[in-house]
Amino acid sequence: MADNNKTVVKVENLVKRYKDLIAVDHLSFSINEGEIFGLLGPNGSGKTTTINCILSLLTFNKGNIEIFGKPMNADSYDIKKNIGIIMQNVAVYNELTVRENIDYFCGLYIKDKKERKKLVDEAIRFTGLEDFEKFYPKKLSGGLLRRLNIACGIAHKPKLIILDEPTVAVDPQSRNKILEGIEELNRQGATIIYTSHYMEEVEQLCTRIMIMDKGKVIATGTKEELKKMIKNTETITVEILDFDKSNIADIRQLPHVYEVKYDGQKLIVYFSGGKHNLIRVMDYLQKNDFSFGRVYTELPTLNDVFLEITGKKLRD
Amino acid sequence: MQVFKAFWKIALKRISSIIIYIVIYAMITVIISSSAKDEGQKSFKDSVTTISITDHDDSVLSRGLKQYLESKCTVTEIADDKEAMQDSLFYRNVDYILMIPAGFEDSFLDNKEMKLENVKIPDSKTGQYTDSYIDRYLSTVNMYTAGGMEIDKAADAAAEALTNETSVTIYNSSDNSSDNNDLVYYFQYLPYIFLMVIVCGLCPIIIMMNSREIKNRTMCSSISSASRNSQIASGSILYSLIVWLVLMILAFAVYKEALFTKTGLLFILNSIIFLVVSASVALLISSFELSNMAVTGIANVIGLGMSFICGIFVPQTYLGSSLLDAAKFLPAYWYIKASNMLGGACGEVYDANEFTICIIIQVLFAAALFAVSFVLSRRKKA
Repeated sequence: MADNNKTVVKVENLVKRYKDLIAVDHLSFSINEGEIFGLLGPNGSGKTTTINCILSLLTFNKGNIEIFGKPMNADSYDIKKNIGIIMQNVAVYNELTVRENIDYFCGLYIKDKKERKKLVDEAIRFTGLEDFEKFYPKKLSGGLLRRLNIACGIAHKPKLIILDEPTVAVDPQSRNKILEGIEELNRQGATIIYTSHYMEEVEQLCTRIMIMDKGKVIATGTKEELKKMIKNTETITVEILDFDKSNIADIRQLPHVYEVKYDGQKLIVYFSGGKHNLIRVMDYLQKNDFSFGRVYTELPTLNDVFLEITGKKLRD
Repeated sequence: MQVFKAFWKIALKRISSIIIYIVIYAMITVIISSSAKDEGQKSFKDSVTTISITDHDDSVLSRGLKQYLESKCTVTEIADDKEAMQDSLFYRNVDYILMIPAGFEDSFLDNKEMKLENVKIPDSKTGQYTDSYIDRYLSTVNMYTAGGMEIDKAADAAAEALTNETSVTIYNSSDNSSDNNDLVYYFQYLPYIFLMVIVCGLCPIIIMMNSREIKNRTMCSSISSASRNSQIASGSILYSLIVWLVLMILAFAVYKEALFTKTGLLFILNSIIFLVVSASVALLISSFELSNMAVTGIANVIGLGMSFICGIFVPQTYLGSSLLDAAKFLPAYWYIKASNMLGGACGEVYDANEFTICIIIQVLFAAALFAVSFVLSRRKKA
């Protein structure tokens, strides 16, 4: 990843309304060159609307959008030729083969036939579609279809690639292949905007994340920065029998504990900061002769960040 | 030209169904037009009525009438009783029984009213046909006797006068009328095939190219919206022209020089205008995001609907006036009316002004459909 802080996308005060509904509400952010920028939010949070505004597929009510340092509008063809787009829904022609589809979409950017052939070959290799070149999209599995969708978007080697939920309804094997491919594209120098409501993917992939809800920015930062924004740093769960109120009060006295729950024979202890939290809990249980079953510890996820800020889960 | 090329790649992959339509159409129209040509040459056959005559008068007039009817009808003998007559009519052994009462000639000469008695199949064509023979003979004799001629001479003169046949030649103002009749059959079915081939061929391609996903991806590229739209429009226009050209080449192969007469060229003009109408129908259907199945279904409803209502499959003369009034709101009606004028079919006669009106109305239909499609596409964008 090459990060020299050169701004590729700059969005300022973006507002998009659909009659009375505010889909994007005074949104501002910027994306630097070489980043994998994640747009995370539940369905209907305004991710796709934001992307469509960036691409000038939608007009917006207020705000400014700059890409590669130039104002972006529907006629900015010099900017558009450096953008690759992979939409949420697969956008390919069913009447054209895999190769013909990639060639068609690549041809919208690259006129030279020889150069195009080389790029199409590379895109086919990159997405692992060599054995399916002559297949029609209807004959491809869901995962292969998504790979074709990606190949059509990246064949012309864009500097900025926008992927809008590219892994929806994809099997785990194809999902891994797609995520690896995105990392490889980033290594090759592309700046990537990745929207998803799968927090695991965003955590795994993105160098910087913006969490959205109801068209607004909830939080922006690296995953570590985002997790630091919330109280919880660790959650320890112990399967245990006969744990009474006095024991719960004792646990609450342990350092860095801010919440204790005992429900359904499960003791859940929430920590805010601190080290060796698990050892302290184990010491207490052994000293008081509690017999316990499984013990597990969880670090906070982006879902916890979202839950703490908005009071609801990402997939609600 | 990437969009244009993709348009044709997709069109060529769907060509088989279009070829099937054109081949079936070509076969059917050529067969129908050649069989109609044979029918036209043999269609007139003089029908002969079988009658029976019972003469109670036995006069010069009654014998003369009998002799005249024998020359026009087949006369058979049946018994002179009511039951035998009814049986003969019931079993259709005879179509008409004439009874000449005694004293008929005297009454005729005295200008007294004495009606001839008859028994015939009620409301039958043969009955009216025979009545007209009898009226014709008696009024001819009456004309001679009124002029002072004796009855025997008047009967002879009438018999002779009625043997004269009038030669009738039908004058058709349009040129090469026989070729035009063939052309009218060929061009009559053209609207159906235009609608089917253009709607079924163009709509799925336009719908696919305008589907939100594909359109968005194309709009994100370095190709302008105007260029994309013009490439799709060029593809559609070229496709329509090729379909038209193929059908005109087929017409030339079958009818040769007849196509290049004045009437033939007007047929061609009429077909071009309806081609534009068909393209406008296709564009309107393409404004909706429909599946291929739905497009075929709609094409069938429109194609067959117009064909039956407007006189493509059933000549306009056989259609009820209220149906024809409703058909006037469809472009195919005006196409067929113009075609009938050119071919002299369905009682239509060519009139340059009326033909021009038919063409203008079709153009207005096309313009209206294009306008509606444009409004729908603007609303979609908004």
